[in-house]
Amino acid sequence: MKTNNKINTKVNIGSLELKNPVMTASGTFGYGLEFEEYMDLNSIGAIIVKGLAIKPVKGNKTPRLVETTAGIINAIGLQNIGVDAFLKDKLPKLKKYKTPIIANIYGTSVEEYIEVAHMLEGTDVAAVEVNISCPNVKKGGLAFAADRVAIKGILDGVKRVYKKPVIMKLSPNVGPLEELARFCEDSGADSLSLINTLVGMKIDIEKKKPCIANIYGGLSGPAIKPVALAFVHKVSKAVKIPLIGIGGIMNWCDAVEFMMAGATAVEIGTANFREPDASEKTAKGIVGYMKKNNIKDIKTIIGSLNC
Amino acid sequence: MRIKSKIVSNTKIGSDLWRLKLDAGKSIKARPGQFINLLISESYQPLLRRPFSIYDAYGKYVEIVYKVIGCGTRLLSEKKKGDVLDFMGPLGNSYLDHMTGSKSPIVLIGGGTGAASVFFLAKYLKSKKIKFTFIQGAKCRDQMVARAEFKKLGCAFATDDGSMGNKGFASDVLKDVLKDDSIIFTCGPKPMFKAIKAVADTKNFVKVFASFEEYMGCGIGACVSCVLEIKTGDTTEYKRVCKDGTIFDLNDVEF
Ligand SMILES: Cc1cc2nc3c(=O)[nH]c(=O)nc-3n(C[C@H](O)[C@H](O)[C@H](O)COP(=O)(O)OP(=O)(O)OC[C@H]3O[C@@H](n4cnc5c(N)ncnc54)[C@H](O)[C@@H]3O)c2cc1C
Ligand SMILES: Cc1cc2nc3c(=O)[nH]c(=O)nc-3n(C[C@H](O)[C@H](O)[C@H](O)COP(=O)(O)O)c2cc1C
Ligand code: FES
Repeated sequence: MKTNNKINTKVNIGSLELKNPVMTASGTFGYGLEFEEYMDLNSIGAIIVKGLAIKPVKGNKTPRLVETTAGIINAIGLQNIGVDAFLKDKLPKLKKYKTPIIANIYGTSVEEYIEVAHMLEGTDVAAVEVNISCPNVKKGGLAFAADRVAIKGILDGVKRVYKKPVIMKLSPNVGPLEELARFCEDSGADSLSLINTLVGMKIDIEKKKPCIANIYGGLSGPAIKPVALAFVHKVSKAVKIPLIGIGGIMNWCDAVEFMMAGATAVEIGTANFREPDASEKTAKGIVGYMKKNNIKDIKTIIGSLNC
Repeated sequence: MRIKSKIVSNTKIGSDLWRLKLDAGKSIKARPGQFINLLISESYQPLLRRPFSIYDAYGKYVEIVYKVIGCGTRLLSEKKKGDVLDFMGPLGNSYLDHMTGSKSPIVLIGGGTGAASVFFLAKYLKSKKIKFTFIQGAKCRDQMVARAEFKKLGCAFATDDGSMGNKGFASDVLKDVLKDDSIIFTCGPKPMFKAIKAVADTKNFVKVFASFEEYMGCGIGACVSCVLEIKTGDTTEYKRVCKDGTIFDLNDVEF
């Protein structure tokens, strides 16, 4: 998207400037390249790739995904190609785009998180989003979501070895997030993204079996939007660092809602499966909204809710 | 490709079985075994696209044959001529990627709606004057995908209840016709693949390539939900049916 000189759509996530606030949510956009054919990858603020670990991860047994009412439940188990293969095979191909690439990272111990961040230092990756909130893996995922010792250890370590912005991705599955958000802010996080998926389940009553092999999975999509919005609004009152709103955002209207609630930027997840250009359309739609309402600077939308 | 297509016709052809013809507005270069991912609903019910094998493609037209089994396919069956349908595709690999060009006897086996995918291959082979044996299995006559067209292609039928062709499974027919050194292309339910493999193992040097229909999130390789466990050396690896498949060498698949 061309930045109209009368309209400013730029936002900042720590020291990283995004041309507009629309990003893709980790795990729903592969390594970005899968979507080349269906949209202009230059049109969005940033691409966040699938969660990366030190080594390739095999992932969970199948079935891994099932549709529910206005949502999906997934338990992929973080299958990914690992940092080395990402840096060697994927990142160079993404270089032809001007869009910053953000790596979502994941480990099974504090040390592994730090090691992944270390491996990304000095590369073209523009920021890391630390996934301490995956509900679908035994170690590292949810176990860390509310563990302050682990969170502090991860943040201290990652900030030490990785110089660009560090975003902490929070889980809605551990209760109210205001205090935890403040703790992350105090521990040095540059930004917070929320929410990851909500733990959910679906049962096949003919087979008397759960619809996904992992029994429980993470619910995403339009079904979780109201919950996500409330989390973002509450956390925005508690911290000063920029928030990235995630959860059921399907179009620009949803994105504007999240920004009014206090998000500086947004991530589009499940919507990519329906409309592979959902993120591009959202970015364009926000500009349309700004023009219609004579808004010159996108930053004036952030937290503009009257209440 | 992502295309806003127009419905040319949407016709009932059996019990719960429908045939949909789409006008893509431009030429579609589809290869046998590929699929399209259809956005059925404007609302979020259903939310995801639905994948269907390409039954036929010529010029700007694409056809699928589908069975009504849930909310998406029911909604699809209510669509009318002239309605606009957004699809992504053609997606996935092709049976042709596994054609060796050797003189091996070719056997095609379609089970249930899987016959749609194999029909496209049969039509292609016929146009190239390549000989093949064609077997189609279904629960009953009314569930047989496009009976008349299959007859034209010289197809043998098998039904569970004997209402058309042999009583029994497609794999039972296979027992009688399979020769050493054959190459089998198939699409259908997994139990049928198991039965085919059992028959194939009774002969020498038979290769089986099967098109799988795993539940899909994105259809373009991004979500890693549609995976199958594939043997690679001494270990196994989860590969994406939508992108690395849908067609795999049955010998490599753990299922
Ligand atoms: C590559 C591919 C090609 C296909 N080709 C054809 C085709 O040519 N003709 C055809 O009729 N169907 C085909 N299918 C299956 C078709 O996609 C599903 O029947 C359809 O998505 C069902 O949608 P629904 O909303 O009606 O059912 P839903 O309401 O989503 O589901 C009804 C029931 O069927 C189960 N189900 C749905 N989809 C699948 C699946 N893919 N695997 C296992 N169980 C499933 C659900 O778990 C549920 O129990 C294909 C699938 C794939 C992946
Ligand atoms: C199939 C799938 C895979 C996901 N994988 C990851 C992941 O690897 N790392 C992560 O932090 N979040 C992952 N998520 C969560 C999303 O990034 C996002 O937080 C969540 O889906 C909510 O947004 P949505 O409703 O817009 O999809 C995944 C979600 C889905 C649906
Ligand atoms: S359906 Fe998403 S990777 Fe195959």
